[in-house]
Amino acid sequence: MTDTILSAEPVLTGKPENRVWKKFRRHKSAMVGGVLVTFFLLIALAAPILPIPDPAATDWGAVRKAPSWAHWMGTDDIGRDVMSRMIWGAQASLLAGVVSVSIAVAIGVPLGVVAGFFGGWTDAAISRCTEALLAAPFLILAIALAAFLGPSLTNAMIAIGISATPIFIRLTRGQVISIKSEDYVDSARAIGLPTTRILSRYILPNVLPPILVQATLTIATAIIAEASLSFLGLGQQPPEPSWGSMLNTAKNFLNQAPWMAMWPGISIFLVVLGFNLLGDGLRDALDPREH
Amino acid sequence: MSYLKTAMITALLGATALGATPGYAKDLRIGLQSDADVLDPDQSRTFVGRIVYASLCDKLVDITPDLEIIPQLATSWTSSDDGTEITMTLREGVVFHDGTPFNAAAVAANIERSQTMEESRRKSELSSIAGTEVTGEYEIKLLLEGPDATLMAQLADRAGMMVSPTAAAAAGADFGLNPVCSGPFSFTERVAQDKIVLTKFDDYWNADAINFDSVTFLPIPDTTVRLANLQSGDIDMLERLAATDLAQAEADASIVVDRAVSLGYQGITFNINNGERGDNPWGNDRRLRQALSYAIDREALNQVVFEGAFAPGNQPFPSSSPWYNSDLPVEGQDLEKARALLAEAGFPDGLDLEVQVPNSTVPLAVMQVVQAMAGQAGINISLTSKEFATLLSDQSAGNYQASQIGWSGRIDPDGNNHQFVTTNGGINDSKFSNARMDELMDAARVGTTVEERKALYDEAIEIMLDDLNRVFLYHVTWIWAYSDNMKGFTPYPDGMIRLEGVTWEE
Repeated sequence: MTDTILSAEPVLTGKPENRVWKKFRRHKSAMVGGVLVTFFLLIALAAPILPIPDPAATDWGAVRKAPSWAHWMGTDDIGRDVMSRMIWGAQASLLAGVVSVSIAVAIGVPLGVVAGFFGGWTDAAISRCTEALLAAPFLILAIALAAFLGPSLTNAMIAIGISATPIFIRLTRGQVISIKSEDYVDSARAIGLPTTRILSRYILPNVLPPILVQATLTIATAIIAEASLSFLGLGQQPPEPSWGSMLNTAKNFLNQAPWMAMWPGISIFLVVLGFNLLGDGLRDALDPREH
Repeated sequence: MSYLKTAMITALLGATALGATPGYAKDLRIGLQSDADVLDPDQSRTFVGRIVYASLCDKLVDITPDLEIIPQLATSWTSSDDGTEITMTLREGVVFHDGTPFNAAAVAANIERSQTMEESRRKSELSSIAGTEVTGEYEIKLLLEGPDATLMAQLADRAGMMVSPTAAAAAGADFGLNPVCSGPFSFTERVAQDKIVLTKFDDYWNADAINFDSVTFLPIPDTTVRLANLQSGDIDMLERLAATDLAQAEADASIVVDRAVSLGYQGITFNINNGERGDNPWGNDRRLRQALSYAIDREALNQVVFEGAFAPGNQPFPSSSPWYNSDLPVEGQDLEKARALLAEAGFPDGLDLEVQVPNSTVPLAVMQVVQAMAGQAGINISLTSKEFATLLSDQSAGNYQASQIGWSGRIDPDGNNHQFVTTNGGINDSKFSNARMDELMDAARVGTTVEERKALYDEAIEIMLDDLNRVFLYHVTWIWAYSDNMKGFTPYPDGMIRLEGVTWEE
């Protein structure tokens, strides 16, 4: 019995995946995005094993020194190696991006599925709350939450995650509503599959592609949000580095030590660009209508 | 038509030529770090407000750069033998900006206003005055509850500023909208967050020493922007140049930089006995606090964060102050001693310390440097950055282990100490208590001679440096930068800008 049902499912064979990958590979800007993101990911992961100085180690003799052989990206206002702080800061930024979006997906997708699939008052309750949250601008909400939770990187990630949740609830709900009236869902229901199975086998896999695209794009937003929170002192706490807090310090030394602002500024720009290109590429590649 | 035009241009040119003459038609533009609050000496609480008052409102007495009390509106004063009466002789021929004459009755009205107006923030500063007695047109007696050595210093600041009793009675609590005092300049206009304009008061008693027709104060919060405005000529002077901008300002030949070490201090305040959180090794064992103090290289801290422009400090006053205990100078870093003290206190492997710090660049940089230094001795400092108002309220509520905090400083040594270290002190957020300290502080408050008070403070500082509920780190240096056309400016440790005798030469 089980076997027959399984074979009736629209099983994804190797072929369509290949098609997605092929389309993605042909998408030049998506590849650029992928390379950028991979580069920063590798750097962040390799931070503990790279031969770089301790990011918190200070050298009173080398305060605000321009880039040199000893310090490739220069030193900051209290004599710390900027490159080492950039690399460790990448960890904070990417972690903030990925973790906060994971939080948003973990809360948003189930709520969106429930709202879209069951409708009725459940949908009404969830949707009204979502709209209420969406009424507050993303960053303002994140700042308010972070200030409420207290300044730390973990709290900043939670705050950004919660602020990013409504968009995932909305997106998932819309997808589920359009998919639940598809013939194959009706058929599954007709042959008497339990709701949980219909959700996990038919609905979820089909709502995931747009969520994946949205998640990629939201990581970019979340990285900017983390930088903003850290800039305001609500994110990563000193002396741990984060690109946002490095920028905050650097703004006071724009004349004397421009490199302090330059590197984190460029890096935020590149990594956000990377995630955006990657998201765009994924969207095109996953879109069945585009060939 | 063309004749008229020519005539007008000629007139304009003539006016411009006049404007270039030294000391004439010059509007002095001063960039402030922030906007002043309400312009009522009895109500206001900001530092920049006091800078505006230095041009707007005269005080009973003033100070010299060496902190001696000198006459301003009071020309002389004597204290009774038991110290409970001060008789002041007042300057004659002084009028307020609205024409009201300044006399003993005006002084009495001012003291009453400071003491009784509901909105007044000067009540505690004048709490030792029980009453006044007008003994002549230009003579007044201040009757005190008991001897108060700090009173004259209070009268050298906002508590001693004289406002027109006529205007004050008419405006009530709204006096700040149109302040009327007796200073060298009178109030003309204020646009919040934009400018405060004062115009020279021709009937000022010392009008000959004032060489500007008007002075405009402009709040420009960003220090770099303030400097850029000075360099471009949009302002003539700025206060509180960032130490890190010193090199840039000094490299500019058209800019003069002046400095004075402030009266205040910056340091780390410990929670000794303020609620449950005071019950921790740092609050319970002074040897740990001594260890932290030994672990800090104050000279290096000053070099790294302030380019050496500030003053390293280990006492509530800078070493330039006459009250500084010179038997206990600032010592260098001594890691061995720090480790030994830690071991003695039972922490040979070091221990953790949580310090809350205001969420802005300078305190964060200072504490990260201290963090690195303390780490060398085995003290693991973790920092919690907080918005300033939150930090202050957590500190008074006892919700902290240690706090990076400072004090802007007062002219009289009492102001930097009594309220922080006496058992019932108003801002004793450590809840520090030492019977001998209380005795010394109270005695210094009523002491009559400088020598007597100095001896009391010397002993108090010895106890402070042993108990260390406050670990002092450095003293801010006020840094002014101004156009080299401006001559005769004198830096004062209170950070004020006094324009008497200052001239403008192009």
